[in-house]
Amino acid sequence: MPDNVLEIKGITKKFGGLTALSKLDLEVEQGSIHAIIGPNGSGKTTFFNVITGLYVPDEGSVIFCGKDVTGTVPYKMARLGMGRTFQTIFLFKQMTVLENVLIGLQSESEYKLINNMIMTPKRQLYEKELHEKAYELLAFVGLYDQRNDIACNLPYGKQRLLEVARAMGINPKIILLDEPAAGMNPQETSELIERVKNIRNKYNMTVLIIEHDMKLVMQLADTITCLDHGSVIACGNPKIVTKDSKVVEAYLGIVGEKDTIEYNKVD
Amino acid sequence: MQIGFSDILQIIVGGLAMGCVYSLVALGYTITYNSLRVINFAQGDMFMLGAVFGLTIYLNFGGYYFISLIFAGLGAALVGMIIERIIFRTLRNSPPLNLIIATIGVSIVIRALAQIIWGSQAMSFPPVFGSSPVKIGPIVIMPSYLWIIGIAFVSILLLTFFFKKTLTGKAMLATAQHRDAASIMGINIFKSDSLAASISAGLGGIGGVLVGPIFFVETEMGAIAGLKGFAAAVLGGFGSVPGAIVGGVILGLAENFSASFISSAYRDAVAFLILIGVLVFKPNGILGKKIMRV
Amino acid sequence: MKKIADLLTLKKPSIIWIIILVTIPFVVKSVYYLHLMNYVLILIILTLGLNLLTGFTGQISIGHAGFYGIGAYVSAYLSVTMGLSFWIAFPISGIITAFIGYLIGKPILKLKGAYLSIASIGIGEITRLVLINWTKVTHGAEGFKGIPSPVFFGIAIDNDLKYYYLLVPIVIIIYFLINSLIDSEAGRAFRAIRDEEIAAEFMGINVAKMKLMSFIISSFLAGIAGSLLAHMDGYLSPFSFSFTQSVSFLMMILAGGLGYKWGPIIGVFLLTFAKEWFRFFNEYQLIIYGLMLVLIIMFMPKGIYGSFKEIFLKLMRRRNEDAR
Repeated sequence: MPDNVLEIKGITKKFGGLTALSKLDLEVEQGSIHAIIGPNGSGKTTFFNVITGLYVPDEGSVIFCGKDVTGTVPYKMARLGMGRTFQTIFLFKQMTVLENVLIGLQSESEYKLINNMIMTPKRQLYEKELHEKAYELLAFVGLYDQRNDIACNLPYGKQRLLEVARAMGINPKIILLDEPAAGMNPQETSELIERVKNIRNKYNMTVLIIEHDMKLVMQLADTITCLDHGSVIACGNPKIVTKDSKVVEAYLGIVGEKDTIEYNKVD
Repeated sequence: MQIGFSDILQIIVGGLAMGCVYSLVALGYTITYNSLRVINFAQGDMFMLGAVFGLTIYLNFGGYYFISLIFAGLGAALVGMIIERIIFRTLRNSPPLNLIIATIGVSIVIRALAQIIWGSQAMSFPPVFGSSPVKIGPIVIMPSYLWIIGIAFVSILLLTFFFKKTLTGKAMLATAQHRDAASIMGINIFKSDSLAASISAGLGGIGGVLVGPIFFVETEMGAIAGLKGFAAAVLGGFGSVPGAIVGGVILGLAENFSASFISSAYRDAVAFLILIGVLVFKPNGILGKKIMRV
Repeated sequence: MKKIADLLTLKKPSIIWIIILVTIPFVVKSVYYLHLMNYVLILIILTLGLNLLTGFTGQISIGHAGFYGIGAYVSAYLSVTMGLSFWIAFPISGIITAFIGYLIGKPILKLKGAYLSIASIGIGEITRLVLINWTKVTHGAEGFKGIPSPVFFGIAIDNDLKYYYLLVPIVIIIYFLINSLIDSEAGRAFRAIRDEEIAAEFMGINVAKMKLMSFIISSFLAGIAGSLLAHMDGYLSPFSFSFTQSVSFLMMILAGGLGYKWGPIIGVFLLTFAKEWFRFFNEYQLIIYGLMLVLIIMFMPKGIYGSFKEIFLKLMRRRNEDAR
C-alpha cells in the first residue's frame, strides 16, 4: 500500500488565455485529513474538478493509489474510489433523501437490463442490503428521520450533509469535500467537525477538504495546502502554514477582514 | 441534364430569395430567445398568419401589396404580443418542456382558428410582382425573387438600425443581456419582452407575405416554415443575429442546389440533415460564440 | 383509505386493474369505442417508453412518431413483402427500431435540453420524408396496403374484440416490466440523471450509457407499438407519422403527469377520448384541444395524475396528523 493515496504531479490547466492551475504538486497521505485553503478564485474548485476527472489537465498527472488516472472520466473515477461533494449543491432534487444516498451506494452497478426489469428475490435482498447501508449513513449524518423527504425541501445545511452521505455511499478511498460548512450555523459546523473526523476514524476514508472557515480547518486538518493563483504557496503542518508570510499576505490581500479575524483567533 | 452557368446563377438567386425568408423566420426565433429564453414553436404560424393577413388585406383593400405587407406584419406582431402577455409571462419559471409544449399548444390553436376563418383550401395570391421573367445579362429571373431579396434586406436594415440607434432598441439589448440589471437601471423589462415578441412575430409575418405570391397560401404552411427557420437559426449559431441571417441564406442555397442536383423529393430533408449535423458536430453553429446552457 | 392509496399509487401490482381491463369488452359493446380502446392500448405502450425517456430520464424527444413509423413499416414490409408471420415481424420490428434508436441516440444524446428536442424533431421529419419518398419499400404517399392480421393458432385476430385481447396481455407485461425498471436501481439512476446530470456522473453512473439505454428502450416500445398499429389497421399512411403526432405523444404524458407511472395511461385515455368527443364541436375540435393543453400546462403543470396525487397525499397527511 503506498503511503500517498493521491499524488498530483505538475498539473497545469488553462481556460483560453487564463491559467487556472499552474504546475501544481500535491501529495495526500493515506488516512489523513488534508485541507486546501486559499483566497477566492485561487483555483481550489478547478483543482477538485481536475482530480475527479471533470477537466483533463493540459499538463501533469494524477496518481491515485499508485495508478496513473489522468484524464479518466468522472464516473470511472468514482468507481475507482473517489467521492466528492459540490460547492454549489448538486443534489438529486426531486428524489427522496434516502434515494440520494442509494444512488451513491449503487455506484458499482453495471445496470444489466434483465436484472433491473424483473424483481427477483436476489434483487430484493440486494435492495434490502442497500437500504440498510443507506440508513446507517443517514444516521451518521443525522438525516435518518428525514429519509423520506424530498431532497430540495431540506434546509441548506442539511442538504450539504446529504451530499456528504451520498459521496460516502460510493465507499470511496478518498472523499473530496468542497466547502462543506458553507451556509451552516455554528452548531451545525461544530457537528460537521465531529462527523468529518469520524469519516476518517470510523470509515477509514482519507479526507481532502476545501474550506474557508479557518476555525474548522485548524480543528480538523493534519496537513494544510494553501493555493494562490493556481499554485501551491505553502504546504505542511497547520501551525507552520498559517504563519507562513506568503499565506498571510494572500489572505490579508484578498479575502478580507472576517476570515483574518477568525484566523488570528485560532493562532 | 445539362446545367449551364446561367442555370446555376438562377439556382443561386432562387436560393437566396428563399434564404432571405428563412432568415426572417430565424431572426424571429433569435430575438424571442435572446430576450425571453423561450423557443417559440408558434413562430412558424406567425409566418402563416402574415401570409393570410396579407392576402386578405390585398384582396379587400384595393390591392396595394406594400400596404398589405406592412399591415400583415403589424397584425402578426400584435398576435405575438398577445401570446407573450398571456403565455410567456405566466410561464416564465416553468421547466423547458412545459414552455415548449405550451407554445406548441398555442400553435395548434392559431392554426385551427385560421382554418375556421380562411378554410383549409390553398389560396393563391395574384401575381403582384408581375409574371413575366426579367432578363439580366445571361440570366432570366422571376421578378418576385428580386423583390423578396430586396424587401428582406430592407427589413433587416431597419431592424439593425432599431437595435443600434434607438433607445428602445438598446434597452431591449440590455434586457436580453441581464434582466435584473436592466430592471434596476429603470428599463421596463416587460415592455422589452412585449416588443421582442412582437418584432419576432412581425418578422415571421413579413416572411409569410413575401412568399405568398410565389407559393400557395394555406393554413398549414407554418409548420414546415417554422422548422426550417429554426434550422437556419441553429445553423448560424443559435442566439446570434448575424448567424440567423447567414444561416437562413446558406440553408436556402443548400436546399435549392440539392433540389436541382440531387432530388427534389428530399428538398425538405436537407434542412433537417443540416440541423442535426450542425447540432451534433458544431452545436454553436457558424457564428455562435459560446456554448449556451439551455 | 389505505387501500385506495395503494390502488392509486399502485404500490401493489393490482389484480383489480387487470380484471377491469379484461372485462371492458363485456361492458363496452360499441365497436367504435372498442376500436378506440385498442388505439389507446397501443399508444400506452408507446407513451410508457416516452415517459421513461422524457419523464424519468429527462431527455425530451419530439420525434417519436418517427420510431412509431419505423416500427410500423418494418413490420408491414416483413409481413407483406417478405411474407413472414406476425409473430416474427412483431419482435423484429421492435429490435430494428431499437437499433435505429441506438444509431441515432448515440450522437444526439450529447445534446441537452431544447437542443436535443430540436434534433429529435429533425429525426422525426427525416423519417417521415423517407417514408413518403422511398417508394420501393414503403409504397410512398399512397400508403402501405394489405397488412395481414395476426394469426394465433389458426385463429385470425381480425376484429377489434380479438385484437383487444391480443393487446391487453402485451400492455400488462410491458407496464409491469417498465415499472419494475423504474423502481430498480437503473430507474433510480435515470431519475438521478434527470435531476442533476453532473452529480450523477460523479456518483459512478455512466450517464451516456444510461441515457442511451433509456432511448433504446423507448424506441423499442415505439417500434412494437407501430407494429401493432400496422397489423390492426392493415393500412399505413406515411402522413400519420408526423410532427403533430410526435407532439401529441408528449402532450399525452404531460397532461397525464410527466414522470409519474400513471401519467401516460391517464394522458392517453384523456386526450384520445377528448379528441373524439370534441368531434361534436366539429371545426372547433382542434381549438378546444389546443386550449386544453395550454390550460393544463399553465394551471396543472404536474398533469392530471400528478396534481390529484398531490392533493390526495396532502389529505392523507392531514388525516394522519388528526389521528395523532
